[in-house]
Amino acid sequence: MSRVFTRLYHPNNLEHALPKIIKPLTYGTDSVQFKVLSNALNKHVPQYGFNERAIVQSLNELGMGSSYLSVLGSSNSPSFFNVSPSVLELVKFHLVSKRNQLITDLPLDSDKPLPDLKTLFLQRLKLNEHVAPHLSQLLSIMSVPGEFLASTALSELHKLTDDMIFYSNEQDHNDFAWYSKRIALSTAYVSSELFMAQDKSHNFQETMEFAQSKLNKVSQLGSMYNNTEEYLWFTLLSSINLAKSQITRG
Amino acid sequence: MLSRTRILPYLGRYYSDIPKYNPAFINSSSSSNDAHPKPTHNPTFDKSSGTSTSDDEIFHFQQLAPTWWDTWGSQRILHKMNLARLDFLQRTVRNQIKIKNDDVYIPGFNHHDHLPGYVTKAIDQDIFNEVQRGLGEKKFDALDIGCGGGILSESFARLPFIQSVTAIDLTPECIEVAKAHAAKDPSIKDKIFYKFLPLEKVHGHYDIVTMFEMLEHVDEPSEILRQAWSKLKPNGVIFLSTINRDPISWFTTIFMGEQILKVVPKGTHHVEKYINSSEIKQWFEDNVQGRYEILDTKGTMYLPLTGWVEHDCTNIGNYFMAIKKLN
Amino acid sequence: MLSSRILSRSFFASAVNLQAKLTDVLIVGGGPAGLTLAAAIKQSPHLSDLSTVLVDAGDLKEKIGGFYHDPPDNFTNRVISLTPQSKHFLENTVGVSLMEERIQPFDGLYVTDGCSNGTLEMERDSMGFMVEILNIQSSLLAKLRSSNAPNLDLIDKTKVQSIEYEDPEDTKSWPVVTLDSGEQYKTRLLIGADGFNSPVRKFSGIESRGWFYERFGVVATLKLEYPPFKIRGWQRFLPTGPVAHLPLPGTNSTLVWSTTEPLSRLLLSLDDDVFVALVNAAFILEDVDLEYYYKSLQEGTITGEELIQDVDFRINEKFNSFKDDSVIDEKYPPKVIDILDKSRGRFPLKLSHADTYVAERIALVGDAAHTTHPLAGQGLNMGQGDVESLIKALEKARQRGLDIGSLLALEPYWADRYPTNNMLLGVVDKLHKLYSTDFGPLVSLRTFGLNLVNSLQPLKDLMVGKVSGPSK
Repeated sequence: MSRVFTRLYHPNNLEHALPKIIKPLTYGTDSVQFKVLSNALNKHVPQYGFNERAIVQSLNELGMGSSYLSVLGSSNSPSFFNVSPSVLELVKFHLVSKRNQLITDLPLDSDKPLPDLKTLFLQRLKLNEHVAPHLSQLLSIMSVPGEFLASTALSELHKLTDDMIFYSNEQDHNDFAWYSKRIALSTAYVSSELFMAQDKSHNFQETMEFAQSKLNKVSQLGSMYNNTEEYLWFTLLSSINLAKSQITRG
Repeated sequence: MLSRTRILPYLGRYYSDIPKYNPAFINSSSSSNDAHPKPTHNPTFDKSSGTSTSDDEIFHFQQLAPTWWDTWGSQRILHKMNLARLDFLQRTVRNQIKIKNDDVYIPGFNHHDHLPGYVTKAIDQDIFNEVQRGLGEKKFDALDIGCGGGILSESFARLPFIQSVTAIDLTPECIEVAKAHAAKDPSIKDKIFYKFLPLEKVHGHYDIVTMFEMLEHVDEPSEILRQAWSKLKPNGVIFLSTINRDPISWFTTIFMGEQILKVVPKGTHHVEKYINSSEIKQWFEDNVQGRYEILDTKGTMYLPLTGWVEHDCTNIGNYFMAIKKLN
Repeated sequence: MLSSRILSRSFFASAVNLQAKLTDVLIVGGGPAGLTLAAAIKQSPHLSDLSTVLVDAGDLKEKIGGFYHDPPDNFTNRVISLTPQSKHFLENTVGVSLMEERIQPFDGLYVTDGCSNGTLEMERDSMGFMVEILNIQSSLLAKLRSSNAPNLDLIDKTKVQSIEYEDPEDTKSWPVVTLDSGEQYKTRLLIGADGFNSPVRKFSGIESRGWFYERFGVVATLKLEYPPFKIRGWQRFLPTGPVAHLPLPGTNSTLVWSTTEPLSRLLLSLDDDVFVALVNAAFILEDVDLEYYYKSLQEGTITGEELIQDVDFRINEKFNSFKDDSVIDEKYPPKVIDILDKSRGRFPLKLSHADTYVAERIALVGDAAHTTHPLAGQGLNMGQGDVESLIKALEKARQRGLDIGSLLALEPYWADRYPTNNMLLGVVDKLHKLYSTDFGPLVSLRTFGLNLVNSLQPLKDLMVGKVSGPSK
């Protein structure tokens, strides 16, 4: 009871509703940037692709001048191949929001079991569906060697695979397998996205099958790694025991 | 890397451990006391008794007493030697059993080389059965001199043809350890009698007297032999084992055993106390003329990864000997 | 209720030393290894005076012992191949009379690769004997009963409730075994012959290394149309696991099909005639055909009838392609027409090897020490070898007056058996790994290897000699 009436020097959740910020974005979900970018992503990118036109359309729709364009993504360093910082910010927004969407749908609080890794993987690919025609453009923007690739694109990819594994019911081993699993999954994801960029089948059926087979290879790799480690450990211990047994003769 | 000037004195230190050969050692009694710089000093027993041993020997065994029965401890090599001792003993005792059954064929030649497999097997089985039957009727009393922690005494007590074991030692801690260990096994605790006594105070006569790895630790081995012989029943057998006094023994038992491989606790052996098998034979020739028979002498050596193996070079290294008192 | 049980337990625990009966050897487990050890101890002149107790949770005396005097007409589904050395040890050293009419000696082995035409044919008169496990167990029980050995206690239908040291501080003190009948035994030597989940091994703290193969062995007793032309064992290495068809007396045979878990469930769920058709197909048709059958059965797109007809059709097609009909009897096992009712079962396959077989006052034999894949039929034979070696070590120890529970007495058994068992386990495991894939280059390599071995008679003789003992 006293807790409610105690005045604290530093505000806590009870007193102030802080603007919710999805890291690594620097603006909250209530901010203007967020509104502009989400509007652009959902309505205009499917039509125009990942370029300034989509953002300007969104700005105009929301009643802001196109000079606002220079505010968006000003923290991104200018790209080498004439991709403006605002487009980079749009791409970043796309990656972060899709990753966040994947996790918010999960039943984290209830006792329901966590979903399969396969489910999360395919779900994330499905989230790309509405921007599917422009995936190759997206991927080419992301893969340009530069600061964006290193600081944003790759780190988002790693965060994505980390989240996928963490929030699924996969067994996580705190050893070297931790890294190999995430790297294997990242590779699988990138190749699935590349496939999706040129997939014309209905409902991206072929992409899903491709993704399935890639995932099977990852788990196969995992079990092969486990089996090899198990086998080597067993052989080593057997050799030691063999030596010990012969020493008892003397 | 090591210069010659550094190696030679190093080796020289080891070489100086080999004493000059003293042929009168085994037969001397009081003269050997003068040769030793350290006084023999037994706290409980009469200093003039000939069967005592020196203070530092007792001290050395006092230190080893607690770990005596740890088969992977400092006494492992002794436990392993016990296996060889028992093999030697069993063979000697069995060879002494006379087969009374006339139906059993005892070939006078090495039948393994000349007869087919199943025939030799049958012959061996027959002989074994007869010996087993003969041995089943025997009940021997044994005396173990210098029993230490009781490794040999316990093995003895478990043999079916031994009915009692009297075991003596001059280190009280070893007797305590031996008593405590024997009490844990219900099948032998009533068969072994551990006594903290010198040999001359032991009463009774025994069928088997054993002195394994003990003669090289006493000051007057000849006195021990004389006393032990007097406690033996007619047709009884003395079993002993000790080490020949030659450079190879020094190399294997002291250099390799104590200093390099460290499988034998340091200070266990002193080369000047080693006794040659020929010297023992000479002692019997001189003192028990005609009324003894040397049943068997076998050299034995320790091979890593195999244990103790017998060989026929009885004047090098360790050896076992069995001598029978004729009627 | 619980608290009173705890109270009474602690009361009795303090009275441990008062009511525990003394014994020299206590064998936990009445399987083939444990029973062989008990019989061998009582048979050996150096060990027969040791007081021995054998404890087993199952019904040994009536159910298993009764098998000897009143055997069923049909064959049970747990059958193993006994090597000539094991049989010799059982019959000559231990003095057991096995039920000969239920044993089938076989004169050869025909091993094929399921992904190619690699073949290995090994022939020798009586290179092994197919024996039911119950045959071995009941014959041993009959021997124990007839020999009327003194100082032997067979306690069946009793579980081991707990094992603890007489002096909890001293791991060299005698173990006290409490049975769930309330009896307590204080023993000089405790033998663990109690299988893979050995409680004795858990008590001793000895670690066991290995893994589950994620495969199950499906067993069944099969009926043939005619007695086989050549009495040999047939084994085909499919990618999912080897399928083995082994002869029994008359027109019977036994099946051991090691396969993945879902497939083993499928095989057990099929009707008898569909199963029989699949068994025939497994040896004759290609692996792709079998994959098709599995898939169709799992998805339900094929009925039993259709499958049987399809299998028959394809087999006839294959046989008609041979110019010479006698090749059929050479290359393929005899046709299975029926399986014994309710004889299908499955058991999980695993590899395990204990770090050491001995500890102070404890020894492990048989499955408690090691388990292996049944593809080479070595599991029980390794157990028999263990018993033989342990008996030799104990005899030697007895002659030297050693305490049979001391490590000095038991270590020679471990030093003798560990290398052999390690080698066998390793070889069988590598064979399993080698034949578990259908990866192209590896298949070619192993086919080449198999055909090469097949053409080298001296090498084959060496292999047969190693496994079955020297030829007479």
